[in-house]
Amino acid sequence: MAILAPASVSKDPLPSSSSALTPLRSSTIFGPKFKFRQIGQTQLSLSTSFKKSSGFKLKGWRHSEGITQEFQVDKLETAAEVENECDFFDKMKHRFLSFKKQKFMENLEHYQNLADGQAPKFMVIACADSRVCPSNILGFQPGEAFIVRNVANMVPPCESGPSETNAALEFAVNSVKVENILVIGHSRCGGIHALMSMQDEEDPSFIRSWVLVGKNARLNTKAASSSLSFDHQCSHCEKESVNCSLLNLLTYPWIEEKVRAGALSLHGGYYNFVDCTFEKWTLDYDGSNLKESKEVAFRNRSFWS
Amino acid sequence: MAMQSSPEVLNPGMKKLLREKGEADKEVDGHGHDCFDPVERIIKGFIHFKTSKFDKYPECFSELAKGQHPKFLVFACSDSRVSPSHVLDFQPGEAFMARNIANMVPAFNQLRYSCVGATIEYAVANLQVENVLVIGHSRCGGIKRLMSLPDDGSNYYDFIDDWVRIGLPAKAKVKREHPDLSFEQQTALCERESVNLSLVNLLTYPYVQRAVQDGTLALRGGYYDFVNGKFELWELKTDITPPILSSSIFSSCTSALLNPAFARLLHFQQLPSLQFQH
Repeated sequence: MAILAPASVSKDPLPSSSSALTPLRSSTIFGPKFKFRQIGQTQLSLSTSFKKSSGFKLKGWRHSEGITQEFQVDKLETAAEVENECDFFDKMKHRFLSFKKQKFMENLEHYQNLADGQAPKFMVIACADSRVCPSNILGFQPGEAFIVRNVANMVPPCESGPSETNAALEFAVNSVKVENILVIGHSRCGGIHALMSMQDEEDPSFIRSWVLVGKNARLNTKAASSSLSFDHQCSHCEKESVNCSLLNLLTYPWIEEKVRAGALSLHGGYYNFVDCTFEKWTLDYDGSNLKESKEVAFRNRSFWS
Repeated sequence: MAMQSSPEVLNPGMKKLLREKGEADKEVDGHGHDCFDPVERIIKGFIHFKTSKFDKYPECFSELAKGQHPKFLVFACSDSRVSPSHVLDFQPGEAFMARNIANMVPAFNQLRYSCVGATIEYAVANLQVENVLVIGHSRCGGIKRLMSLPDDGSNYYDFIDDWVRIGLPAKAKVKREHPDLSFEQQTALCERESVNLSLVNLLTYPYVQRAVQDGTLALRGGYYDFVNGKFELWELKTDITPPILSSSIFSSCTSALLNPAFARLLHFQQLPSLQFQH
């Protein structure tokens, strides 16, 4: 899949085994030539897909048994590139080693158990927004929550066909067998803003195609709160979209069956990062209310501030 | 257990058994399961975040509330064990993050993959992130399913199998280059090759290609090995070579073009094509 471009050998303090060093690979795509360059690995073992070159460039770091060593930087790069890459590389190295020291090694037995298999009780569907990571705002620790993140935390209905989100649903519900699905919306969501401000004559885009999953939420919002300001309508739609996603979850037969049997609970959540509050509610579904009234009820509403 | 039920009265024999196992203090329901309250778990987590982070740094969070300016777009697996916020300590505001089965990025396709496309479009074109980081990991269930897909193209799982097929080129490469390795070894290699494939697929998005060529966006791959507590990091570099033939030379080289070796070199350097060589 890639050609290996010959390059100068870097001198470095590594042991003589050349299998520890990572060569440069090149492949041509769309005209420009691309190279994969290993800039860091945490042990001396070599990924076998990199083996085939007689020469190589290597820049990176290695952490093995507590020893961290630096390699010599490739001299062909500009000084600015080197500085930027070193900064990035140093930053990621520091972060991972801190995680390893403060969390991984401190809870080694727990991480070893997790390595054998995961059994999270939650599946969380949250927005990709950088401010709303469920690991931060709800403190989910390794092993606790199977997490899907997409623009505007949307769940498409079953009839829309295979997608990234419902592949994750199938895995979480049928393979991992989570007991709770939590869909979390949030304040000032760019995806919901795009949905609410969409015009019919707009050019097609990925964002437009995707947020149309929430078109029912937009319709419900316009019907219920058209007298409100645009910003307030967006806030309303952020929560309405969560409810529409919860209803869309029920369009998957293997989800509906488990919810009806009481083996799976569907929860909605809303994180407001302007004033740091969290609302939570649970879908109240016994299999009959949707067919009769086309509406569902929610229970156990909570608001935390 | 989805709904909290009241613990049934335990008979004396069961109580003695539990005490002997050191579990006398644990509450159990009638099915012998721990009483896990999902709502309580969410409350505790949120309160901890609010008191230990939000209330301690009000100015930071006030700025974040006005708008986000993350420097990273991160693709990571949905696996509960590999949150980049833990492994790489991403704080609120740092990383626009997409999480899906096997951290895959499909090639540009507006009909099939609007979800991932919307993520990339928003992050690169709207937020103008500077880095894309695709992180694979050990013992990935999605990659294992990819490697287990039957050759006849049939699907056992409707949605999972359709999704992981994005990684078929990575699987084919691993099987072609390492036919003698065990299934587990091939799967571990595919976890990394799939990241490389995703990096290449990113370049099929016009705004990504433009930003990479402008030097304003870097594409990097990562691999978190939670069995051994290790992390690998690498990057995709691009070079645009100068033309190897000008038009005046071209016209005098007609006979050379008839040479198949020369034609292959020209194709390799200049024509936009997807071409891989060993």
